[in-house]
Amino acid sequence: MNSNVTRGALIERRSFIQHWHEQAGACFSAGTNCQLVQHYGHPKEESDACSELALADLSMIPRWGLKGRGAEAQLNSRGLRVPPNHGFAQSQDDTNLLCRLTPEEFLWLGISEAGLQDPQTHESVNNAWFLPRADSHCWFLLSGRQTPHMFSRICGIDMRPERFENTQVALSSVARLNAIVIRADVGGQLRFHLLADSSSADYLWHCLLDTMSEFGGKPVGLSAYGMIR
Amino acid sequence: MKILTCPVNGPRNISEFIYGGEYHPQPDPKQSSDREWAEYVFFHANTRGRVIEWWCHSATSVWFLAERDTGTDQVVRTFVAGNWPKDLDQSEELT
Repeated sequence: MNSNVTRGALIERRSFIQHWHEQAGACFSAGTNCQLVQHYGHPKEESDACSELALADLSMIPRWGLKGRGAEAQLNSRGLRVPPNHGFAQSQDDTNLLCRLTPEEFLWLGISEAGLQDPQTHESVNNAWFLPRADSHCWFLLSGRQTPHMFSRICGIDMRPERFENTQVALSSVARLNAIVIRADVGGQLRFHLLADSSSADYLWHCLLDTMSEFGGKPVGLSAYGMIR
Repeated sequence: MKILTCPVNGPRNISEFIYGGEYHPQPDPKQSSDREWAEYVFFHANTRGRVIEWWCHSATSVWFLAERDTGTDQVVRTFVAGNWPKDLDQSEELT
């Protein structure tokens, strides 16, 4: 047994593609029990890329789901604004997102700085079952006006702004993986959140990089979006 | 690419779907003979014309029913099992 391992100690979370970040020269910023990619050495260029085509790894940011007949009532009781229709997301006051994947299944994305804290323990009560999503799904953010063109190479859904409206949610296949795509623009900037099976995170990340190269896209750190300083 | 409309998620590429076989009304497991149960589980009618089939949207694991013409390969409509169309007889297979 490794004597350096302390029983009961918190293990620092690592991104599903941590090795790629390190090899790409990422500068990390300390998050809550994790490391967040601040930038890859070119913060100004990365910030500029966000409006054209950029890709960021948000996998270290909390997210969770709730499913069941009582899910909507429980979310209402927490003071969250619940999307009335499935296939849509609702931005909360602090820019966090609550997505309604199906009539009885929800996904909460803690995008804001406040959301970087670990989520509290959720219990499955009143016909609503808590779904831990931090380990099951990787979470990438794509932004910029070229994003719909990039998606056209790897996804069957038309993501152009006039066809896929803001806050719309699609459960579909992206690069042959089952995936969740959420459009959530910020300040007029086109943004898509992409979540897929975490065991395929490395494959998906490289697929996205490869597809983006055709359109001049680049990976960026979270400081490019003002999510960390 | 063919498009099939999932009643929950909307139109999607056919590559996102899995065929689940013909729909057959389930016989009463306590009353049916072994032969009747085997026919329900294993045997297909392979009818030419309109049939009801099980399909699954693999990206979301949503199982639903599709009314399809096997002669023309046209999907007439799709619906979830709990929302059976009133003009379709649920007790008999379509021919």
